[in-house]
Amino acid sequence: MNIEDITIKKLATLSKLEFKEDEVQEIKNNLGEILTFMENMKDISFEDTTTPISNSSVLREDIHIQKEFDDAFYENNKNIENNQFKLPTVL
Amino acid sequence: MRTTLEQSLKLSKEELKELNVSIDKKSSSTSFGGYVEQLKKIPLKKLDRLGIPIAIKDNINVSSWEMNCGSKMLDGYISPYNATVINNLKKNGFVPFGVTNMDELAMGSTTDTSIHGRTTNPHNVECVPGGSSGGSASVVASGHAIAALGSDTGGSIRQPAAFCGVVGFKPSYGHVSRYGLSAYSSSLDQIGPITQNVTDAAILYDAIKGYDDLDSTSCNIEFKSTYKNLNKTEKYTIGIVKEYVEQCEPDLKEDIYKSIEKLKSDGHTIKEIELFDTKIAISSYYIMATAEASSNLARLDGVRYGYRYDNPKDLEEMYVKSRSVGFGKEVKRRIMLGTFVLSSGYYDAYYKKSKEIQKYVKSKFKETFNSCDLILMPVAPTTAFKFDTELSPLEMYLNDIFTISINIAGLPGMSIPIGKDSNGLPTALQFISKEQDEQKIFNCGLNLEELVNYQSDIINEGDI
Repeated sequence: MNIEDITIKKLATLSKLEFKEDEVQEIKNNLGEILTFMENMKDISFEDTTTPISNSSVLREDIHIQKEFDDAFYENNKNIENNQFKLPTVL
Repeated sequence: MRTTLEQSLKLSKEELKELNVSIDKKSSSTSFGGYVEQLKKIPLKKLDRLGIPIAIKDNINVSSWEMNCGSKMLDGYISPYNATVINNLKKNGFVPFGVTNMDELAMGSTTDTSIHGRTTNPHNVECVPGGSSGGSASVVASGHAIAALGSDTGGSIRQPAAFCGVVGFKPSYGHVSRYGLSAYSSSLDQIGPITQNVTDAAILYDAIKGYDDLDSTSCNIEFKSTYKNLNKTEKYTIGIVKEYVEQCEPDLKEDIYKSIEKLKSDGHTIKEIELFDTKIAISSYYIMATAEASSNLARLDGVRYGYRYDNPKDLEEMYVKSRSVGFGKEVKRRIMLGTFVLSSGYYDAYYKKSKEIQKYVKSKFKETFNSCDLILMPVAPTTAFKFDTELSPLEMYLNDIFTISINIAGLPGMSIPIGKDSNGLPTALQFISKEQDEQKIFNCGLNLEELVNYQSDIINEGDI
């Protein structure tokens, strides 16, 4: 399957990734090869399916628990002020 | 003589202390790089608590330990909590002891993509240990750990276990809590044991399994002891997919057929069966797994923990640069693929189709288990291959042809070593049972272990 540059750029934007020019070509080729292989699925049709996994999510009661952040939490990010993460400006 | 997990249950406190010291000492001098600490040249992580030591894969949270999942993106991340499996280990007298290396974010089959460096196969350091739980398999195979935990999304316990000549078990989906396991593909991930033998796998599996309130996909069923119910004399009807065995390289194929003959001579019924074209299962797996991964890895954005790009001009640049620098090639490739199959215009053709295939694969297995107790299959088409073998990403994915369908169907599977090829590399096969029927795998595995009498020849720097 032939993937266009514009598709790679769109996917990169959605994925919050960026690629250099030479990387774009490589990823185009890789994805193209993989998606061509996956064409083997297209001609196979199956009976109408329900969910294939027998487990289902068990809902539990929504109970509010006040949790204090321990030291390990703060160790992971020094960019905290007033219990908020400090980030670069949006605009 | 190596200490097994079963033997370590009977050790006194003094003997246990000696054992822990011995592992520490042995691991400080290794060249295999199974532990992250070995690659970083720091002491093995341990708790301030005596217990039977279990090596832990670098994607399982242990409170106050650094957990990187082999990725720069989680550089400096300190776990603020224990995964449920860690709490379960502690309740049963085991303690986490050392962090094992892995492919970045569990995406790979070589343990060569970790930010910490590569782990080698103890049988031949020019060969891969398999992945993504290659570190766990390597430390158990090399005698640097009694047992280890790994995780399996598409074969990441079973394939490295096969390549390293140890036992690797992937439980039925939902039998072991995923709370505290760094998510790759949430509907496929499972934590499981990597051990020296089947009995040890049963002991470790018993310690970690069980219902967990904190994991909404956890099975709320009655769990019986696998270890106490081990019975190597039970005879089963075992389905063999000859077409799969024929795809293996010659030495591996020969060992598998020899094992089948041994099982037959010992009273098991061997039956030839047909399953499905492995290519469609591969396609389905890589669509579902990458789709879920692209969603799960969206949380790694440099905001709350892990790597954050220095001095970005704005928030958008922070996200993009942090992720582009923080993730390796393979991870980025899978995120892109996952994003593609979920995107508008392609969702029906790819993701929806992959779910149909999942249902088909599950139903084929269910149908087969109406007439068989177990299925015997290869784990991989080859034994451990050399590092730097030139394989395209697709060719690498095709190495997973025999493992991924078990994950798609949520079934349990165990890799057992059965011999060595002409290069001295381990050969292995896997048993699969229907959901929640793992006792048969363990029983038959124990029987096979005795019949093949596989002996690892890796004894170095003294035993533990």
